[in-house]
Amino acid sequence: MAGVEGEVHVGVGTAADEVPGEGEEERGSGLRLPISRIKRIMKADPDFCLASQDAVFLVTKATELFLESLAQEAYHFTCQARRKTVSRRDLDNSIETIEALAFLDGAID
Amino acid sequence: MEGGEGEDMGASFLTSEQYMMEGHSVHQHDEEEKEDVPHILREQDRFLPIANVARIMKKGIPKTGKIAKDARECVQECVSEFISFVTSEASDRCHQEKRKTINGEDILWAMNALGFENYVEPLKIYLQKFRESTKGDKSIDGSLEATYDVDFANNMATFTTDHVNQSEIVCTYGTGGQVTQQFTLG
Repeated sequence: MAGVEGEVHVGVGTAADEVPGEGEEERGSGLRLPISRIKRIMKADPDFCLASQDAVFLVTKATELFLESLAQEAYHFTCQARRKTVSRRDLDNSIETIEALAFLDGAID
Repeated sequence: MEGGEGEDMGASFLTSEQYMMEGHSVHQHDEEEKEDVPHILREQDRFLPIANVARIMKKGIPKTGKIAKDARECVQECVSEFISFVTSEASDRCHQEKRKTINGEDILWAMNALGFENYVEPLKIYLQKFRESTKGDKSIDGSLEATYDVDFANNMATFTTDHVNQSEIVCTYGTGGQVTQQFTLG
């Protein structure tokens, strides 16, 4: 497949879905994820009570770091296979190989 | 408006091939968004926007690289798992210490405990900047951009930011925990 990564209308989201990090994004350290969405995911945990602003910020930032790391790790496998497009399999390989990612094993489809 | 699903608000984001999280009852309070389906956690609620996800992922790979659609969607799920994972760990610690509010320290502790110790030092710095900027210090000129390069495999991270006083801070974290910091005063 030619890597179609423009935000096409098929699939989970569209260009309209891009949320430029609501609220604190420009004042702080350039958040690139919507903090309210992150908070919503945090709240979905039945044991979750309250979190300070600092905590939510840190989770948001950590998530950005995680995203980059995950892509980077998967890309190693992409390279090994002499491909240019990161595939689901590359992600699976990363999850199996890296200890810190073990929590994802079995957690996704 | 039709049925309980695919209502206008979210319709543009969803297609028929997507799955809705029906019956996934969550303890959401009503003051949280007054949406039409308060008890169904729609896909867009469970996950971060895929466009943001894709954009940040691309920073981790060379410009020539691309990311397949199924990989992007998979990462979307992974990321939500990550958030839950960290939050849950931090929450446990919080409860153990008989506190009700998860604070920054709990999150950092959780990072360390879960194998993401690489993130801790950069996160501390980001937090510092965040705190400074939310103190209402008007002398800060607009945004405080920073770049963070991670070499996960070699356990190295380089963090570069423009300090509010126009000095540049570059921190490199190597294996064995050594930190090299350089401050350039502008």
